Amino acid sequence: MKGIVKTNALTKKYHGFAAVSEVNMSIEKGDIYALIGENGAGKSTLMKMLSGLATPTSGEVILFENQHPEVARFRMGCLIDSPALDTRLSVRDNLEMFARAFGCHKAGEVDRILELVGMTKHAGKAIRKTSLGMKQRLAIGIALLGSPDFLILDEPMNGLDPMGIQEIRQLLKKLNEENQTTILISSHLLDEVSKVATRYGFMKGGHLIQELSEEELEEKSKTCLRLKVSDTAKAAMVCEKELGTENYEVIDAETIRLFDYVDESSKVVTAMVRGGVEVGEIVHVGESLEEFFNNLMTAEARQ
Amino acid sequence: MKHMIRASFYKLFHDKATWIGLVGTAVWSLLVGSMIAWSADAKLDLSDTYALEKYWRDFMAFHAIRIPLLVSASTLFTTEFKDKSWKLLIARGISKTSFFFSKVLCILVLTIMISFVAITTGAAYGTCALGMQTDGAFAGNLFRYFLLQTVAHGTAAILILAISFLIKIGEISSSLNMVLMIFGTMVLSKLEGALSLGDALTGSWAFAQPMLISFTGQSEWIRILIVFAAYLILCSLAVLLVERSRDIE
Repeated sequence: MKGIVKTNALTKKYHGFAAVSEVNMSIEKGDIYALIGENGAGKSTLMKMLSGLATPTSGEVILFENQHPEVARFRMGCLIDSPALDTRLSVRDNLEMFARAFGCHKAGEVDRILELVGMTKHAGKAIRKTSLGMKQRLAIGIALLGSPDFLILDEPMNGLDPMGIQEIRQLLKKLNEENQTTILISSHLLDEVSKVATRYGFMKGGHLIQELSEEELEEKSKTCLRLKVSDTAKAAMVCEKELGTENYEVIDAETIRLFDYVDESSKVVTAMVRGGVEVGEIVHVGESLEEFFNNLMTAEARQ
Repeated sequence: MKHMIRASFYKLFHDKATWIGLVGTAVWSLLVGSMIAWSADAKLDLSDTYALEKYWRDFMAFHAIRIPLLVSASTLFTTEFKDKSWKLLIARGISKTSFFFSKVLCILVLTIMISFVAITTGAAYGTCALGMQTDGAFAGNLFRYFLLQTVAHGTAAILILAISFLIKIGEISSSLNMVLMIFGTMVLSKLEGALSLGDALTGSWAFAQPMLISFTGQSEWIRILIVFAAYLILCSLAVLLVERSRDIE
């Protein structure tokens, strides 16, 4: 896999306070990397360092496998903090101006972006007269100018209505699937992020405390019934014959995980007993991304 | 750099504030022209060369260009910091050097535009309302004076821009520029007097440059250009050195 971003012990201190501390992260081509953390966890500061807006106190950022930062950043589109738009220009003029600055001004580019972010009918509107959602769409549009290889989007769903959130989510998925655009995204809307992300980085107190792939997180947060039984072979047979499901997993000689009937534990116990399997324990396990995140933060706070 | 220059000029010409500034310059020039003509010691015969020279000196050196230039420059070149839109440029690999020099070019072009509008309005007003008459030689001097004044105001414009870049908060940088413009020369003159320095301080002070140009003098190009180049180099160095280690919030 081709590396898009790699950081080595990346640190940013403000007056002695470490906003980001010794972060080692890597993002590979095609990833949709979700950066998750509470307010003040250091997500925006990390993104600012990746995009060249903040200078690291120590450590290094390697972009596109050691390409010169100024060259590499021409291949990146960014939306950091609130949408930073020129308020005295219209929606179209903002795109025209940024397209010229990015060196990607060609016939149809601005119209393509307007279409992509659903702003065609608002093109002539002054920025002052647009809603926060429209500003957010336009800022995403500016980040997409010139079809960058890597997008850094800090809270891109902010200010968008549910329809807008869905559209942006679909747009990001499309860009990722069709153009192999790599995306680094941060959001407070964990459920929304979980619908697009392929990798996760959890931050707390400036530290990157855990990195997980989509599969690993799914595995960790999968809801299931964990049963301690007298005979797992018999229990597996009960699952298939009595309950009609193959969606189970034998963990060891006395533990089996059942991913169906999660909210019908009494039905499962009855079927097991009827099949001659003794059930020593039945536990409902698994958590949503939000629960996983909350538990991770609580556990980290205790340490 | 060329992309950033194209973008900056696109913004300059598509920003309504530019055109409002130029219309404002024309209106202001009419007011200034009237004030000079009606002031007590200018109630001279405007067909007299001395009175004409005085009219143009007062018009261009003291009033008509500097105020619109300060207001326009403060408005036009601080919005990118206020809106934080410049961080999108830096994040896309555009260097702070390219950004700064594209703005330097823009402010110099703006200075030429404002100077041109001011002198055109002043000349039209003088001819139509005050009965000004000029011969070929005087017109040649006036043109030369206009060019010198434009360069001198360009020097002031570079300082205005550098202060806007270094402070970034439009209200504060505009106020500071205004204070420097109004009181800077006065304070430096007092210092020169107190320390017997001749015109060593005001001679190199950006906001004093327009006042130091004589209407008929011939040998001022070199001095004016040296001061202009010195301000361009020093202000650029100051901005780029400070910006090099600054984060963009």
